Amino acid sequence: MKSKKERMEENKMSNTESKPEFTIKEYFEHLKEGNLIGCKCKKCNSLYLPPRKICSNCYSTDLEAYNFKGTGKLATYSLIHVGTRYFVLQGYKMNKPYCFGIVELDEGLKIAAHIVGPTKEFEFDPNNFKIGMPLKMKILKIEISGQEPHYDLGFEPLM
Amino acid sequence: MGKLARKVAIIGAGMSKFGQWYPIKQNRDLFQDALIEAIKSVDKNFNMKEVEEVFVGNFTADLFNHEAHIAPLMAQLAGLNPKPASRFESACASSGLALRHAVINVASGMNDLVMVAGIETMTEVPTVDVTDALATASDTRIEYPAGATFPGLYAAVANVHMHKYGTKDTDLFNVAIKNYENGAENPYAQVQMTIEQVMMDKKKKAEKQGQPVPDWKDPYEFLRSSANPYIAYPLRLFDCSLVTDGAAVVFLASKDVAKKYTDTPIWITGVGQGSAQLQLSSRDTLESFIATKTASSTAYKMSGLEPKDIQIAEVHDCFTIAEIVALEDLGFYEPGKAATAISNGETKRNGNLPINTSGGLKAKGHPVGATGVAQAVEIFKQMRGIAERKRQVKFDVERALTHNLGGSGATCVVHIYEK
Repeated sequence: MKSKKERMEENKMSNTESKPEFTIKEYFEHLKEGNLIGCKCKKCNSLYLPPRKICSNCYSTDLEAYNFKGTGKLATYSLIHVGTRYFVLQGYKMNKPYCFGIVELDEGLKIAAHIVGPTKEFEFDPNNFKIGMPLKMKILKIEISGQEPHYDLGFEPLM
Repeated sequence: MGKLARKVAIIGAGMSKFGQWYPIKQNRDLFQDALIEAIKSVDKNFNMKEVEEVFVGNFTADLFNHEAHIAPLMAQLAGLNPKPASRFESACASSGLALRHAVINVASGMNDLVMVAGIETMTEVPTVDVTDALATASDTRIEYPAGATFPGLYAAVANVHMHKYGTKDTDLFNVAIKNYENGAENPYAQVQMTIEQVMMDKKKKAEKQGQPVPDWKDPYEFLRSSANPYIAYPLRLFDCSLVTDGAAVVFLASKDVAKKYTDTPIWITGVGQGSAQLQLSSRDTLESFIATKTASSTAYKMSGLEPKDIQIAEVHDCFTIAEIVALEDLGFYEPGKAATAISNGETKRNGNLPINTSGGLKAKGHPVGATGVAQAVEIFKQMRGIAERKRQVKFDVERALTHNLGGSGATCVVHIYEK
């Protein structure tokens, strides 16, 4: 039987291995820095976003960080008039909708994101959005009073 | 594999009146309403004490009601403690899931008689909290910061369906109009009015209040007006199911004992469940649900039936677009062809494939965790020929299907019923 101290030492060792840990927390920390970091399976080349620790295609655990370019096109969208609390706190409401979108990245993966325009009003008009329109990533700094700033994945039209 | 070890039947089914009940009625009250109806529906020899296990479907009493451990409570109210009681969660497919596990339980030989309930009380909290609670059925780490709501996710599906197949807002309106027509004939439905009646009511109200009377000449004009605002473009208010409180209960019996309780058991001959990536964005196709295709193909195979054999179905119309997609995913129509069939009246009560005779989630209401079992209640009534008012279909229903979808299609449960 190993002592508790021995077990803790062992855990510490395994946590400080050179390989980065692909956790959801890491993903958001990279996002905050403006990087869309997923990973790529070194065995079967599958891409993941957010990153994974185990490839769900071939079950290899040999994955490496992969920096997505952050460009793509709009796969679908909706202008949301009745929003979540988080978006209501950002000032969106019934007659001031926001655009929820799914972006197909150039690398082929799709990801959900807030689609923004040059102005907030841009989001109020569905005619400003078209399936297939090219987009580029824009990290959104969301400041809600009484809260730490959030850094969310956004995309904007590629003009 | 993929077979039930012995036959399982519904021998009793009932539901509470669906509506906005809080605070007059809460989870425990609605459950008892449904329980009483279910007990009344059993033909003979029913003895509650013979029920051996309790299966409760509920999405999130945790967030809606500050209650979580509700299965033992329902067993208590049914006088069944200390028998096993479990809660099942899979978002809006929670009680479809409870039903599936109860069927498997009885088929396995573990029990001969069990109770399945579905319960949800959604109106205890304000709308923004309902929206937020429902959003927990999506991937909140990824989709919530992007602004996803449930109407928004299905609106995103609608946009792709429209883009790919040319589906129009009129096609969505047709689903709402039909389901309201059915709900008007269901005394248990939350809304018991046709859209035409809703429209006329609004006109009368305007006249009474001395305001300009809107000149909508038919339900389509009404549905295209500002009286039917966008909730999540392109989905409007009347494209969305309702926020509802309600409960439903069914009793399942094994082949060995079913005939003791009734001469007309409704056999569940096919059970299927499927899953998909939690994020809508991670799926290959956005205009159809792989979980539905998987669940239904498993259920069809188990029952030995094909889509063309099904005579009526209750499908998960949480949004009008969801009914169109379901009819395609279940194999009733080719992809992109359901809207035309609906517009031709094929899915009306007098059509050749009546869909959502109960009024569906649209008009009957959608207390999310109660929906799966409530769908089975409607099928039970239709197959026995006892559906209330004018909504009983005119032919003898021998084969039916229910389709219960969870989240933005990440869980699906399908059941097939035969007489």
